[in-house]
Amino acid sequence: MNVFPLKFRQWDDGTFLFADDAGGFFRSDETFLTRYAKDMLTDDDFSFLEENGHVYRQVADYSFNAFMYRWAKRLYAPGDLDYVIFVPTLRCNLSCGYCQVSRVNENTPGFDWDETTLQATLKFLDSLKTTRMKVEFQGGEPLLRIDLLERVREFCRERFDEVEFVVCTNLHQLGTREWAFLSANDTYVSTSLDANASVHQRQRTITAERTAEFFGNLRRAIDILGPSKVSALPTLDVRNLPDPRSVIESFTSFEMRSIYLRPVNYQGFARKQFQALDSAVRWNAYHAEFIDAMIDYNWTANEPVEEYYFVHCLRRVLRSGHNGHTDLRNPNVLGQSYLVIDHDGVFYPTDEARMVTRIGRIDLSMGNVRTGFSSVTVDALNAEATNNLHPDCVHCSYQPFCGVDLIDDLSRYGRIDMPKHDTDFCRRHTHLFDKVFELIYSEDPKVRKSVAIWAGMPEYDPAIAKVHA
Amino acid sequence: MIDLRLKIEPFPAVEPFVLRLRYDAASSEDDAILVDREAGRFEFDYNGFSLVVHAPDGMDLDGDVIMVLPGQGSAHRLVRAASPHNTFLVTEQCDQLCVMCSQPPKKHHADLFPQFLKAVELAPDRAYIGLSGGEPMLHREKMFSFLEVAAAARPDVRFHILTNGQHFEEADAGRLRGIGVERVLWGIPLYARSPEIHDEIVGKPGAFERLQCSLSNLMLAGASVELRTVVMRQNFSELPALANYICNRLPFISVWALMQMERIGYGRMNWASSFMDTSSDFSALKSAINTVCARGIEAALYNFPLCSVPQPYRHLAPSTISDWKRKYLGSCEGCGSRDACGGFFEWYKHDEGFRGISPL
Amino acid sequence: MNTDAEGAAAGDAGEGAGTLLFREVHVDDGFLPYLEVAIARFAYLYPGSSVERGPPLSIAVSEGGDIDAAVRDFNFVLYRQKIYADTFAVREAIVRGVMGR
Repeated sequence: MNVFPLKFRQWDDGTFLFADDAGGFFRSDETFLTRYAKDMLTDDDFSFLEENGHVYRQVADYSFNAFMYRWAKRLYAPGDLDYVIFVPTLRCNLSCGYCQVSRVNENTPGFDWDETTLQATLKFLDSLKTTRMKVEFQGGEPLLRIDLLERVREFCRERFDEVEFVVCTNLHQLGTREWAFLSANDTYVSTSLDANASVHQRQRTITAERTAEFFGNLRRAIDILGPSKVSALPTLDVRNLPDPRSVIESFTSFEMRSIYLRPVNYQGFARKQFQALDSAVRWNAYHAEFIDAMIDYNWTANEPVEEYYFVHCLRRVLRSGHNGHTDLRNPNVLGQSYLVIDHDGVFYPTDEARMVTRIGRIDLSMGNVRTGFSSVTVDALNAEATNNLHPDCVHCSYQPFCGVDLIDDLSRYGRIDMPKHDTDFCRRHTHLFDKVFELIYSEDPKVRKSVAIWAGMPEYDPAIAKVHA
Repeated sequence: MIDLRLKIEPFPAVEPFVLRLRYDAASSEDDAILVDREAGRFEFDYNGFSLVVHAPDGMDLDGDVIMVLPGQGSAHRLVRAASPHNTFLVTEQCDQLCVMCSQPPKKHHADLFPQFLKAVELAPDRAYIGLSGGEPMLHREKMFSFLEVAAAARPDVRFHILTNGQHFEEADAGRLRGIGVERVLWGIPLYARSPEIHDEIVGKPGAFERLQCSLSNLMLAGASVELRTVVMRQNFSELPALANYICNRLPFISVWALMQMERIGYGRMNWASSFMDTSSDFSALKSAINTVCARGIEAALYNFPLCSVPQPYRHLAPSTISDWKRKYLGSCEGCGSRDACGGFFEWYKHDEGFRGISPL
Repeated sequence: MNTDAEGAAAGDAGEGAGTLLFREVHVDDGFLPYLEVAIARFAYLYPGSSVERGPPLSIAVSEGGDIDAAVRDFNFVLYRQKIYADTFAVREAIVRGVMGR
């Protein structure tokens, strides 16, 4: 009997997690590790391993084939381009402290799509194979060019069988025309709600007047468009983190129950202002505290809440083929199933790539919508975008659930070959997966209730938390 | 209960043939047009011949595809245009003897593949046709040929085929892909993770082993499989182990259908020793369902009345009993969930059935 | 794993080289083929450490470092390199099986 290679990790309580490359996992102890490493597994060990899909007898036997399937299903295979992010203007009517490279002042000329760029973009859309499309408008503040949004939307509704639009807006200065645009059935609103009113004002709106304007418009958006059409993301300053309960209360008061916590991501000069490692530690601690607060909340609330990215990680542990988040994929092939078109018509594989290029670190552009698409740099990057046999990741028990984000590495370190444990991406995800497994193996009924909700199970069952005694 | 046969007046047929009933115009030479209609009597013109059907007044026959057999006073309604439940009985032969079988096997086989092919050609737009038996794949060559021709002739039609999975070969991959793996859903039973228990239930030694081979071949071919497990006393406590087995060995299935027994055929004969009252004990089902749901495999409860299912699991219990063999109990009168509930089999006997149910 | 001897010693080279904590580590014969690559990997995971091959093998960290953790982690690195080498053929077979080459 042959055992598929097992990766292991020791947790703080001294027990070990073992996982194979297809994401099958179990908890055990150091004596099992020693027996495994020294080729001294017992019959009892083999019996457990066989029952749980860790063993095969011959290459291409049923067990081997099933493992291949599960392994293959963990991999991301990009489809046709069916998701585009448009930046029709970099101009913005707010100036949030943490937004460094994504905006210019509202009256600055030369940072909008011109007519040629618009026409070239529509022609580009027309050339695509897909019959479905998701179009996301970002900026700056995209509603400053509502005329461009209207024209793009009209074209896409005609050209594609199924299409959906997302407008990433700060919800300021909305007139009749803007409200009318947002009210369409195929159009969704994504905005920023930085924790609660006081943090939001400190980080974004600055004056009480503008804060009131924002919250008024948010309330109006929920009322007119309906809660399912409006989502908000909080951006939090790790130096000044708000009480999790106040964030939960703030969001649920707007009927928003999926909260995607994001730390301010400093680029370039702002990063040097304080120690990056220290901030990662602080963020991780806060995030864990936030999850615990949600578990408490969900124990008694009528409607549960979730932290969006945490639930995504939980589901990536338990399921294969869960590739909906663009940052957490393996292989993370860029520039194929979605693209960004900047205010000057330049293609980028991701929004982060656009920002990294703007600060001059490396050119990740992929050509220009007027002159043509070109993917030489990104193709080179894609060749490195897997974690399966990376010298660090191959040993990591979280590897099958994790991914790679080379653009984040480039942005922070200027290179993609750092030892993984030295990267923010790895540290952040190691912490997240540690927390995921802490919850999966918890015997606390409060925790189990939330785990079931977040994992998509009608009720919790310890069968998902295998232990080899 | 809905009758799947239509009473017809004698019609000159030398072999079984298939035609479509139309109320207005014909669009093919296989159409019979309604020319006269009185209380309970429909007269159709079929290529100059008169075909008279006796059926209740309110019955909607427009678009139905029927099969007329020589010398018989009734025609089979192969495809009821207004119903989602249309199944062709391919054969009554079978090479297993399942303890709960609702269609006990017979030795004789009548080859009706040409007629079934015609019926598919005449079926309504985007019909979803069931093929069943006995064991249809005892005639695998003809089945594959039938599917290849039918799939090509009607690119909009899909098939749901019930088979015991004892007959798939590695080399079938090419044919399966040629037909279109998304065009056919194979409904295949697996009763337990233990070969002994599975073989015992299906009455055939070695069945489990052969089934693993078929399932592996289907997985490699990219085929779509609905794994079906009838829940009975013989396998109830084994369900959690089976769930684990599915997650590891059969991760490719489209859905795991956990099914209640049907009290007909061998199912009726063996009811007392086999029926598991899941309304009184749902425990093993909970564990099995929660396990596969967590792992991203779809679970479904077929043929469970909603009141027999604990509330957190009811969304997994769609209405699945075919309309022609479905009934509700007297006590269902006041139930708030009656519209969503699939009810009971026509032949369900409540005094030997669920103890723990009441209107919702 | 066995720890045969441990101790502290003054660092011998360089300015500001403080006290070193070291511990001997017993390496089973079965792990010897993987020792070199484990030492190489351990070096970048524990930049402040050093390894004396001996025999006996000895791990050292500077004072203030966690010698227990370093020894434990060294053994883990050794196990991982063995597992990796011993199972590489299986990984190849899986990739070949899935990719068709």
